[in-house]
Amino acid sequence: MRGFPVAGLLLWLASVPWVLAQPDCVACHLDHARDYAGSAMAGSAADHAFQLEWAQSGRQEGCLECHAPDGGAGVGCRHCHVAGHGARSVGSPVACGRCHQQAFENTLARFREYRARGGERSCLDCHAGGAAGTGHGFTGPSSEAFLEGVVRLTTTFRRADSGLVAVIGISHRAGHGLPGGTAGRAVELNVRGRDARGELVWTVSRRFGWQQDAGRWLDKSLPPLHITYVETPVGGAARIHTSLRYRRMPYGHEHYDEKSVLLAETGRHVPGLEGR
Amino acid sequence: MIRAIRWLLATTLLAVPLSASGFQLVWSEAEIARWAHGVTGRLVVDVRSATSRQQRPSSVALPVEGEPSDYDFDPSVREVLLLVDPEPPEPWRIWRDHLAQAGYRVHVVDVAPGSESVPPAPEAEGRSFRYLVPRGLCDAREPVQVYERNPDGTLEAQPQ
Repeated sequence: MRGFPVAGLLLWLASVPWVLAQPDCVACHLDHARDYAGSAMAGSAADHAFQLEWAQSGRQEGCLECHAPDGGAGVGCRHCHVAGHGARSVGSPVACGRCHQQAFENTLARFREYRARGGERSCLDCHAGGAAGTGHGFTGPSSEAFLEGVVRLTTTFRRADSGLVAVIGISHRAGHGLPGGTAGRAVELNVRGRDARGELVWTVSRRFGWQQDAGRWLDKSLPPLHITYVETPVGGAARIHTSLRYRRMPYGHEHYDEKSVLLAETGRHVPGLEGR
Repeated sequence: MIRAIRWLLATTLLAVPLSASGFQLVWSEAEIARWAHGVTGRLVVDVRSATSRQQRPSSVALPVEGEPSDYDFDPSVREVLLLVDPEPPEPWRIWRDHLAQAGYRVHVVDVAPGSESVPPAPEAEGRSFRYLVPRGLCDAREPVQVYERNPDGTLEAQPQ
Protein backbone atom coordinates (compact mmCIF):
# COMPACT_ATOMS: atom_id res chain seq x y z
CA MET A 1 0.00 0.00 0.00
CA ARG A 2 2.80 2.44 0.88
CA GLY A 3 4.33 1.95 -2.52
CA PHE A 4 1.37 3.38 -4.37
CA PRO A 5 1.93 7.12 -3.82
CA VAL A 6 5.59 6.78 -4.76
CA ALA A 7 4.81 4.66 -7.79
CA GLY A 8 2.05 7.09 -8.78
CA LEU A 9 4.37 10.07 -8.44
CA LEU A 10 7.07 8.43 -10.51
CA LEU A 11 4.59 7.46 -13.20
CA TRP A 12 3.11 10.96 -13.19
CA LEU A 13 6.56 12.49 -13.56
CA ALA A 14 7.22 10.05 -16.34
CA SER A 15 4.01 11.12 -18.09
CA VAL A 16 5.18 14.65 -18.86
CA PRO A 17 8.02 13.71 -21.20
CA TRP A 18 5.82 10.89 -22.47
CA VAL A 19 3.16 13.36 -23.63
CA LEU A 20 5.75 15.73 -24.97
CA ALA A 21 7.25 12.84 -26.86
CA GLN A 22 4.27 12.37 -29.14
CA PRO A 23 6.45 13.52 -32.03
CA ASP A 24 3.88 13.84 -34.80
CA CYS A 25 1.80 16.41 -32.94
CA VAL A 26 4.22 18.23 -30.67
CA ALA A 27 6.49 19.54 -33.40
CA CYS A 28 3.79 21.99 -34.47
CA HIS A 29 1.48 22.06 -31.40
CA LEU A 30 3.83 22.58 -28.48
CA ASP A 31 1.41 24.84 -26.55
CA HIS A 32 -1.35 22.26 -26.86
CA ALA A 33 1.00 19.52 -25.66
CA ARG A 34 2.20 21.60 -22.68
CA ASP A 35 -1.38 22.35 -21.64
CA TYR A 36 -2.36 18.74 -22.06
CA ALA A 37 0.65 17.36 -20.18
CA GLY A 38 -0.68 18.94 -16.99
CA SER A 39 -4.13 17.37 -17.29
CA ALA A 40 -5.41 14.34 -15.41
CA MET A 41 -6.09 12.53 -18.69
CA ALA A 42 -2.42 12.69 -19.64
CA GLY A 43 -1.63 10.76 -16.47
CA SER A 44 -4.75 8.62 -16.24
CA ALA A 45 -2.83 5.39 -15.70
CA ALA A 46 -0.28 6.93 -13.36
CA ASP A 47 -2.97 8.42 -11.13
CA HIS A 48 -2.84 7.16 -7.54
CA ALA A 49 -6.61 6.52 -7.31
CA PHE A 50 -6.51 4.51 -10.53
CA GLN A 51 -3.51 2.50 -9.38
CA LEU A 52 -5.34 1.62 -6.17
CA GLU A 53 -8.62 0.75 -7.86
CA TRP A 54 -6.84 -1.19 -10.58
CA ALA A 55 -4.99 -3.26 -8.00
CA GLN A 56 -8.29 -3.96 -6.21
CA SER A 57 -9.88 -5.18 -9.43
CA GLY A 58 -7.08 -7.66 -10.04
CA ARG A 59 -5.19 -5.51 -12.57
CA GLN A 60 -7.63 -6.26 -15.37
CA GLU A 61 -6.01 -5.42 -18.66
CA GLY A 62 -9.29 -4.09 -20.06
CA CYS A 63 -8.92 -1.00 -17.83
CA LEU A 64 -5.79 -0.06 -19.75
CA GLU A 65 -7.71 0.18 -22.99
CA CYS A 66 -8.77 3.64 -21.83
CA HIS A 67 -6.27 4.48 -19.09
CA ALA A 68 -3.13 3.59 -21.04
CA PRO A 69 -4.07 2.74 -24.61
CA ASP A 70 -0.48 2.87 -25.78
CA GLY A 71 0.98 1.39 -22.66
CA GLY A 72 2.14 4.83 -21.48
CA ALA A 73 1.14 6.87 -18.45
CA GLY A 74 -2.14 8.06 -19.90
CA VAL A 75 -4.18 9.04 -22.93
CA GLY A 76 -2.23 10.43 -25.88
CA CYS A 77 -3.07 12.87 -28.69
CA ARG A 78 -4.22 10.30 -31.19
CA HIS A 79 -6.67 8.58 -28.87
CA CYS A 80 -9.03 11.53 -29.31
CA HIS A 81 -7.70 12.90 -32.58
CA VAL A 82 -8.08 9.50 -34.16
CA ALA A 83 -7.81 10.72 -37.73
CA GLY A 84 -5.24 13.41 -37.01
CA HIS A 85 -5.92 16.69 -38.82
CA GLY A 86 -9.49 17.35 -39.88
CA ALA A 87 -10.99 15.14 -37.16
CA ARG A 88 -13.72 17.64 -36.32
CA SER A 89 -15.84 15.13 -34.47
CA VAL A 90 -13.37 15.20 -31.60
CA GLY A 91 -15.52 17.83 -29.85
CA SER A 92 -18.54 15.56 -29.98
CA PRO A 93 -19.73 13.85 -26.78
CA VAL A 94 -19.55 10.57 -28.65
CA ALA A 95 -15.79 11.01 -28.96
CA CYS A 96 -15.60 11.28 -25.15
CA GLY A 97 -17.99 8.34 -24.85
CA ARG A 98 -15.41 5.94 -26.24
CA CYS A 99 -13.98 5.89 -22.73
CA HIS A 100 -16.63 7.69 -20.68
CA GLN A 101 -19.36 5.16 -21.48
CA GLN A 102 -17.81 1.87 -20.48
CA ALA A 103 -18.02 -0.77 -17.84
CA PHE A 104 -18.43 1.24 -14.60
CA GLU A 105 -18.64 4.48 -16.62
CA ASN A 106 -22.08 5.95 -17.38
CA THR A 107 -21.14 9.59 -17.98
CA LEU A 108 -22.28 9.83 -21.59
CA ALA A 109 -25.73 8.36 -20.79
CA ARG A 110 -26.08 10.85 -17.92
CA PHE A 111 -24.98 13.68 -20.24
CA ARG A 112 -27.75 12.70 -22.67
CA GLU A 113 -30.18 12.77 -19.75
CA TYR A 114 -28.95 16.32 -18.99
CA ARG A 115 -29.56 17.43 -22.58
CA ALA A 116 -33.00 15.79 -22.64
CA ARG A 117 -33.89 17.84 -19.53
CA GLY A 118 -33.01 21.06 -21.36
CA GLY A 119 -29.30 21.40 -20.53
CA GLU A 120 -27.40 23.28 -23.22
CA ARG A 121 -23.70 22.91 -22.44
CA SER A 122 -21.35 20.43 -24.11
CA CYS A 123 -18.48 18.44 -22.57
CA LEU A 124 -15.81 20.94 -23.59
CA ASP A 125 -17.78 23.96 -22.28
CA CYS A 126 -16.85 22.81 -18.78
CA HIS A 127 -13.88 20.49 -19.17
CA ALA A 128 -11.65 22.28 -21.70
CA GLY A 129 -9.04 24.54 -20.17
CA GLY A 130 -5.35 25.21 -20.10
CA ALA A 131 -3.04 28.06 -19.15
CA ALA A 132 -1.99 28.63 -22.77
CA GLY A 133 -5.64 28.91 -23.86
CA THR A 134 -5.47 25.95 -26.19
CA GLY A 135 -8.47 24.20 -24.63
CA HIS A 136 -6.30 21.12 -24.14
CA GLY A 137 -5.63 21.39 -20.40
CA PHE A 138 -8.60 19.24 -19.57
CA THR A 139 -9.92 19.94 -16.12
CA GLY A 140 -12.28 18.01 -13.87
CA PRO A 141 -12.90 16.92 -10.31
CA SER A 142 -9.22 16.20 -9.69
CA SER A 143 -8.96 19.99 -9.40
CA GLU A 144 -10.45 21.35 -6.19
CA ALA A 145 -11.21 24.70 -7.84
CA PHE A 146 -13.25 22.93 -10.49
CA LEU A 147 -15.64 21.62 -7.82
CA GLU A 148 -16.20 25.01 -6.20
CA GLY A 149 -19.86 26.10 -6.28
CA VAL A 150 -20.99 22.94 -8.08
CA VAL A 151 -23.41 21.88 -5.36
CA ARG A 152 -26.17 23.64 -3.45
CA LEU A 153 -27.69 22.25 -0.26
CA THR A 154 -30.94 23.38 1.34
CA THR A 155 -32.65 22.33 4.55
CA THR A 156 -36.42 22.57 4.80
CA PHE A 157 -38.37 21.48 7.87
CA ARG A 158 -41.75 19.79 7.56
CA ARG A 159 -44.22 19.03 10.32
CA ALA A 160 -45.47 15.44 10.03
CA ASP A 161 -47.77 13.37 12.26
CA SER A 162 -44.71 11.63 13.68
CA GLY A 163 -42.89 14.88 14.43
CA LEU A 164 -40.58 17.26 12.61
CA VAL A 165 -38.76 16.05 9.51
CA ALA A 166 -35.69 17.67 7.89
CA VAL A 167 -35.79 17.62 4.09
CA ILE A 168 -32.31 18.04 2.59
CA GLY A 169 -32.31 19.26 -1.03
CA ILE A 170 -29.24 18.52 -3.18
CA SER A 171 -28.82 20.15 -6.58
CA HIS A 172 -25.71 20.34 -8.74
CA ARG A 173 -24.55 22.03 -11.94
CA ALA A 174 -22.74 19.13 -13.61
CA GLY A 175 -23.91 18.24 -17.12
CA HIS A 176 -23.99 14.57 -16.10
CA GLY A 177 -24.48 12.60 -12.91
CA LEU A 178 -22.56 13.61 -9.79
CA PRO A 179 -20.09 12.09 -9.46
CA GLY A 180 -19.28 11.42 -13.09
CA GLY A 181 -16.61 8.91 -13.90
CA THR A 182 -15.81 5.52 -12.56
CA ALA A 183 -16.73 3.33 -9.63
CA GLY A 184 -14.11 4.63 -7.21
CA ARG A 185 -15.63 8.09 -7.04
CA ALA A 186 -18.56 8.94 -4.80
CA VAL A 187 -20.45 11.86 -3.33
CA GLU A 188 -21.25 11.43 0.32
CA LEU A 189 -24.02 13.19 2.22
CA ASN A 190 -23.61 13.49 5.95
CA VAL A 191 -26.39 14.87 8.16
CA ARG A 192 -25.77 15.37 11.89
CA GLY A 193 -28.31 16.26 14.56
CA ARG A 194 -27.03 17.92 17.74
CA ASP A 195 -28.93 18.73 20.92
CA ALA A 196 -29.06 22.14 22.60
CA ARG A 197 -25.71 21.43 24.35
CA GLY A 198 -24.04 20.64 21.04
CA GLU A 199 -23.87 16.90 21.72
CA LEU A 200 -24.24 14.61 18.73
CA VAL A 201 -27.68 12.94 18.80
CA TRP A 202 -27.71 11.12 15.47
CA THR A 203 -26.02 10.95 12.08
CA VAL A 204 -27.36 9.92 8.69
CA SER A 205 -25.09 9.16 5.71
CA ARG A 206 -25.95 8.55 2.09
CA ARG A 207 -23.53 7.61 -0.68
CA PHE A 208 -24.16 8.52 -4.32
CA GLY A 209 -22.19 6.91 -7.14
CA TRP A 210 -21.67 3.32 -8.18
CA GLN A 211 -23.21 1.00 -5.63
CA GLN A 212 -23.74 -2.68 -5.15
CA ASP A 213 -27.41 -3.59 -5.09
CA ALA A 214 -28.39 -7.25 -4.66
CA GLY A 215 -25.04 -8.36 -6.02
CA ARG A 216 -25.10 -6.00 -9.02
CA TRP A 217 -23.15 -2.77 -9.46
CA LEU A 218 -25.45 0.12 -10.43
CA ASP A 219 -24.92 3.81 -11.22
CA LYS A 220 -26.65 5.67 -8.37
CA SER A 221 -25.14 9.08 -9.02
CA LEU A 222 -27.13 12.28 -8.45
CA PRO A 223 -28.95 12.89 -11.76
CA PRO A 224 -28.33 16.12 -13.73
CA LEU A 225 -30.81 19.05 -13.74
CA HIS A 226 -32.57 17.26 -10.92
CA ILE A 227 -32.98 18.01 -7.24
CA THR A 228 -32.68 15.06 -4.89
CA TYR A 229 -34.55 15.32 -1.59
CA VAL A 230 -33.46 13.23 1.39
CA GLU A 231 -35.72 13.16 4.46
CA THR A 232 -34.70 12.41 8.01
CA PRO A 233 -36.65 12.74 11.29
CA VAL A 234 -35.32 15.53 13.47
CA GLY A 235 -35.55 13.43 16.65
CA GLY A 236 -34.18 15.23 19.67
CA ALA A 237 -31.92 17.54 17.66
CA ALA A 238 -31.88 21.29 18.17
CA ARG A 239 -29.56 21.92 15.23
CA ILE A 240 -28.98 20.11 11.95
CA HIS A 241 -25.63 20.22 10.13
CA THR A 242 -25.38 18.91 6.56
CA SER A 243 -22.31 18.40 4.41
CA LEU A 244 -21.59 16.87 1.04
CA ARG A 245 -18.11 15.60 0.18
CA TYR A 246 -16.62 14.43 -3.11
CA ARG A 247 -14.59 11.27 -2.64
CA ARG A 248 -11.97 10.43 -5.21
CA MET A 249 -10.67 7.20 -3.78
CA PRO A 250 -12.24 3.74 -3.79
CA TYR A 251 -13.66 2.13 -0.59
CA GLY A 252 -16.87 2.95 1.29
CA HIS A 253 -17.50 5.92 3.58
CA GLU A 254 -16.23 4.00 6.59
CA HIS A 255 -12.73 4.62 5.22
CA TYR A 256 -11.22 8.10 5.49
CA ASP A 257 -10.33 9.59 2.12
CA GLU A 258 -7.58 12.18 2.50
CA LYS A 259 -8.26 13.38 -1.04
CA SER A 260 -11.96 14.07 -0.49
CA VAL A 261 -13.23 17.61 -1.11
CA LEU A 262 -15.99 19.43 0.75
CA LEU A 263 -18.54 20.44 -1.89
CA ALA A 264 -21.02 22.25 0.34
CA GLU A 265 -22.19 22.45 3.93
CA THR A 266 -25.06 24.10 5.72
CA GLY A 267 -26.46 24.29 9.23
CA ARG A 268 -29.85 25.24 10.69
CA HIS A 269 -31.46 25.50 14.07
CA VAL A 270 -34.61 23.38 14.32
CA PRO A 271 -37.54 25.81 14.24
CA GLY A 272 -40.78 25.78 16.19
CA LEU A 273 -42.72 26.10 12.90
CA GLU A 274 -44.96 28.93 13.99
CA GLY A 275 -44.62 30.26 10.46
CA ARG A 276 -41.97 32.40 8.87
CA MET B 1 -32.51 31.72 -29.99
CA ILE B 2 -36.29 32.19 -29.92
CA ARG B 3 -36.54 29.66 -27.12
CA ALA B 4 -33.87 31.53 -25.16
CA ILE B 5 -35.65 34.90 -25.59
CA ARG B 6 -38.97 33.35 -24.59
CA TRP B 7 -37.40 31.81 -21.50
CA LEU B 8 -35.66 35.09 -20.57
CA LEU B 9 -38.91 37.01 -20.91
CA ALA B 10 -40.80 34.43 -18.92
CA THR B 11 -38.27 34.33 -16.10
CA THR B 12 -37.35 37.98 -15.79
CA LEU B 13 -40.04 40.24 -17.18
CA LEU B 14 -43.34 38.45 -17.33
CA ALA B 15 -43.22 36.18 -14.35
CA VAL B 16 -43.66 38.78 -11.66
CA PRO B 17 -46.57 40.87 -13.01
CA LEU B 18 -48.45 37.89 -14.34
CA SER B 19 -48.05 35.79 -11.25
CA ALA B 20 -48.77 38.71 -8.96
CA SER B 21 -52.13 39.14 -10.65
CA GLY B 22 -52.92 35.48 -10.15
CA PHE B 23 -52.47 34.52 -13.77
CA GLN B 24 -50.55 31.27 -14.25
CA LEU B 25 -47.70 30.77 -16.64
CA VAL B 26 -47.41 27.48 -18.48
CA TRP B 27 -43.86 26.15 -18.45
CA SER B 28 -42.32 22.98 -19.75
CA GLU B 29 -40.47 20.69 -17.38
CA ALA B 30 -37.17 21.77 -18.99
CA GLU B 31 -37.95 25.46 -18.31
CA ILE B 32 -38.79 24.67 -14.71
CA ALA B 33 -35.56 22.66 -14.26
CA ARG B 34 -33.46 25.46 -15.77
CA TRP B 35 -35.15 28.06 -13.56
CA ALA B 36 -34.44 25.97 -10.46
CA HIS B 37 -30.76 25.64 -11.39
CA GLY B 38 -30.37 29.34 -12.23
CA VAL B 39 -29.36 31.77 -9.52
CA THR B 40 -29.33 30.58 -5.91
CA GLY B 41 -32.24 31.28 -3.61
CA ARG B 42 -34.86 29.55 -5.72
CA LEU B 43 -37.19 26.73 -4.73
CA VAL B 44 -39.84 24.88 -6.75
CA VAL B 45 -42.79 23.80 -4.62
CA ASP B 46 -45.33 21.34 -5.99
CA VAL B 47 -48.84 21.88 -4.57
CA ARG B 48 -50.62 19.84 -7.24
CA SER B 49 -52.79 16.79 -6.69
CA ALA B 50 -51.22 13.34 -6.56
CA THR B 51 -52.76 12.55 -9.95
CA SER B 52 -51.18 15.58 -11.62
CA ARG B 53 -47.80 14.80 -10.04
CA GLN B 54 -47.99 11.30 -11.43
CA GLN B 55 -49.06 12.43 -14.90
CA ARG B 56 -46.58 15.30 -15.20
CA PRO B 57 -43.85 14.71 -12.62
CA SER B 58 -41.21 17.33 -11.90
CA SER B 59 -37.58 16.39 -11.36
CA VAL B 60 -36.81 19.47 -9.29
CA ALA B 61 -39.90 20.20 -7.18
CA LEU B 62 -40.38 19.71 -3.48
CA PRO B 63 -43.75 17.96 -3.16
CA VAL B 64 -45.76 19.42 -0.29
CA GLU B 65 -48.89 18.36 1.52
CA GLY B 66 -50.98 19.87 4.27
CA GLU B 67 -50.84 23.51 5.30
CA PRO B 68 -48.19 26.08 4.36
CA SER B 69 -47.57 26.64 8.07
CA ASP B 70 -46.31 23.02 8.30
CA TYR B 71 -43.20 24.06 6.35
CA ASP B 72 -40.15 26.17 7.10
CA PHE B 73 -38.04 26.62 3.97
CA ASP B 74 -34.28 27.05 3.86
CA PRO B 75 -33.27 30.63 4.80
CA SER B 76 -31.43 31.01 1.48
CA VAL B 77 -34.74 30.77 -0.40
CA ARG B 78 -36.01 34.11 -1.69
CA GLU B 79 -38.09 33.08 -4.68
CA VAL B 80 -40.65 30.27 -4.93
CA LEU B 81 -42.10 28.73 -8.07
CA LEU B 82 -45.44 27.14 -7.23
CA LEU B 83 -46.48 24.27 -9.50
CA VAL B 84 -50.27 24.29 -9.44
CA ASP B 85 -53.37 22.68 -10.85
CA PRO B 86 -55.27 25.60 -12.44
CA GLU B 87 -58.52 24.27 -11.04
CA PRO B 88 -59.65 24.54 -8.34
CA PRO B 89 -57.73 27.72 -7.52
CA GLU B 90 -58.34 27.76 -3.75
CA PRO B 91 -55.57 25.40 -2.63
CA TRP B 92 -52.74 27.13 -4.48
CA ARG B 93 -54.03 30.61 -3.66
CA ILE B 94 -53.70 29.75 0.01
CA TRP B 95 -50.04 28.79 -0.60
CA ARG B 96 -49.37 31.83 -2.79
CA ASP B 97 -50.84 34.29 -0.30
CA HIS B 98 -49.09 32.67 2.67
CA LEU B 99 -45.69 32.70 0.96
CA ALA B 100 -46.08 36.22 -0.40
CA GLN B 101 -47.02 37.42 3.08
CA ALA B 102 -43.93 35.69 4.48
CA GLY B 103 -41.78 37.77 2.12
CA TYR B 104 -41.10 35.33 -0.71
CA ARG B 105 -41.29 36.37 -4.34
CA VAL B 106 -43.86 33.91 -5.69
CA HIS B 107 -44.48 32.71 -9.24
CA VAL B 108 -47.43 30.51 -10.12
CA VAL B 109 -46.82 28.00 -12.89
CA ASP B 110 -48.82 25.28 -14.58
CA VAL B 111 -46.74 22.43 -16.02
CA ALA B 112 -47.28 22.28 -19.78
CA PRO B 113 -49.35 19.30 -20.96
CA GLY B 114 -47.23 16.71 -22.73
CA SER B 115 -44.17 18.03 -20.90
CA GLU B 116 -43.20 14.76 -19.35
CA SER B 117 -40.37 14.53 -16.91
CA VAL B 118 -37.27 12.93 -18.37
CA PRO B 119 -36.67 9.62 -16.63
CA PRO B 120 -33.21 9.07 -15.20
CA ALA B 121 -30.72 7.33 -17.46
CA PRO B 122 -30.93 3.57 -17.05
CA GLU B 123 -28.98 2.42 -14.03
CA ALA B 124 -26.18 0.99 -16.12
CA GLU B 125 -24.94 -2.18 -14.60
CA GLY B 126 -21.25 -2.68 -14.06
CA ARG B 127 -19.78 -5.67 -15.83
CA SER B 128 -16.44 -7.33 -16.13
CA PHE B 129 -13.93 -5.61 -18.35
CA ARG B 130 -12.86 -7.10 -21.61
CA TYR B 131 -9.52 -8.75 -21.28
CA LEU B 132 -7.20 -7.58 -24.01
CA VAL B 133 -3.93 -8.92 -25.23
CA PRO B 134 -2.32 -5.84 -26.72
CA ARG B 135 -0.41 -6.17 -29.94
CA GLY B 136 2.24 -3.74 -28.79
CA LEU B 137 2.77 -0.35 -27.27
CA CYS B 138 2.20 1.59 -30.47
CA ASP B 139 -0.97 -0.06 -31.70
CA ALA B 140 -2.63 -1.33 -28.57
CA ARG B 141 -6.00 -0.14 -29.83
CA GLU B 142 -5.94 -3.06 -32.26
CA PRO B 143 -5.88 -6.05 -29.94
CA VAL B 144 -4.73 -9.36 -31.34
CA GLN B 145 -7.31 -11.17 -29.27
CA VAL B 146 -10.25 -10.15 -27.08
CA TYR B 147 -11.62 -12.28 -24.27
CA GLU B 148 -14.89 -11.93 -22.35
CA ARG B 149 -15.00 -13.15 -18.79
CA ASN B 150 -17.64 -15.82 -18.13
CA PRO B 151 -19.71 -15.75 -14.93
CA ASP B 152 -17.57 -18.61 -13.56
CA GLY B 153 -14.45 -16.50 -14.06
CA THR B 154 -13.06 -18.33 -17.06
CA LEU B 155 -12.07 -16.38 -20.18
CA GLU B 156 -13.63 -16.96 -23.55
CA ALA B 157 -11.89 -15.89 -26.76
CA GLN B 158 -14.09 -13.67 -28.93
CA PRO B 159 -14.12 -13.89 -32.73
CA GLN B 160 -12.09 -11.10 -34.40
